[in-house]
Amino acid sequence: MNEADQENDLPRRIAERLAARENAVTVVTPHVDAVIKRSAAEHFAGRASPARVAAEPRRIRRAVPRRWAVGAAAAAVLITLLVIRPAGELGRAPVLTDDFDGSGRVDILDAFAMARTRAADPAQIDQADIDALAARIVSVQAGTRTL
Amino acid sequence: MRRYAAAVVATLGAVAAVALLGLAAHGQPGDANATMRFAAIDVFIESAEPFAAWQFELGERNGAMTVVGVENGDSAAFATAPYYDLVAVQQGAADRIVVADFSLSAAASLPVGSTRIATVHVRLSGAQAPDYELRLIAAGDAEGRPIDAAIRLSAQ
Repeated sequence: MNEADQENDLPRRIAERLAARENAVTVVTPHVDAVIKRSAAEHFAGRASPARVAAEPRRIRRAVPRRWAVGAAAAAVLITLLVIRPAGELGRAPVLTDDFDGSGRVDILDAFAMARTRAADPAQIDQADIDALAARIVSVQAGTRTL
Repeated sequence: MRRYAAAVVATLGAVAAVALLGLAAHGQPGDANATMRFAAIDVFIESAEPFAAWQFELGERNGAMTVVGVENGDSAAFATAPYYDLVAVQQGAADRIVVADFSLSAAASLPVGSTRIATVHVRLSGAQAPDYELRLIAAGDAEGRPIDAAIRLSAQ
């Protein structure tokens, strides 16, 4: 034992404890570290992050009533249609999609525009569609009352 | 002689009574028929420019009208029957009617000025005079553009 060793010499008890601790330390090489990271990433892939998990309960609390509200509104509309309007009239009234000329209203000018389009290119529109639109326009049962 | 005269008077009285009863019996349906009649309503469009499409609605404010038929007007550009709710008319359920038509004829062949576009045949009930309600919903030129036009009717 030289002089330097003597200066660094520790009491045996402390030296033994330090040695024991040193043995307990597992040496993790960069390679092992990378393998562990990769395995962890594969294992937890698809799981929500902690922040997301923390926020999840509130999101669910908000989403569930919203879904119920949308469902209830849809059911109310359906019931209204079925109860108030006779079944035979469903789908017969002119609807916004019938506004072929984009004027904001549905009238015979829409059927006329369809007929003019068909006259230019018969492949684009069926005559049956024109007649069906005209029938909806003049229907006194489901059509728009103006008087 | 007196007896003979009394018999003649009785016979004439009986005949008169039967005749009166018959008239009364005949008069009942006659009264009902008197409250129901038919009318033809000519509908005209007045336009300063040629029109290729039109749509109107006809009603009666007292609810005394039932549409029984619709026929086309005078213009050769609108030679076929116009669009209307044929099912409602056939079912006797048309207390109002929407009539419309369009023509793909060239602008030179389209009507202009005062033109009868349709005649609506109706059945009227009740003794009061009908109070028709007529509205022009749309009128367009050969390009499908809305045009200013007036509408009127003439009941026969």
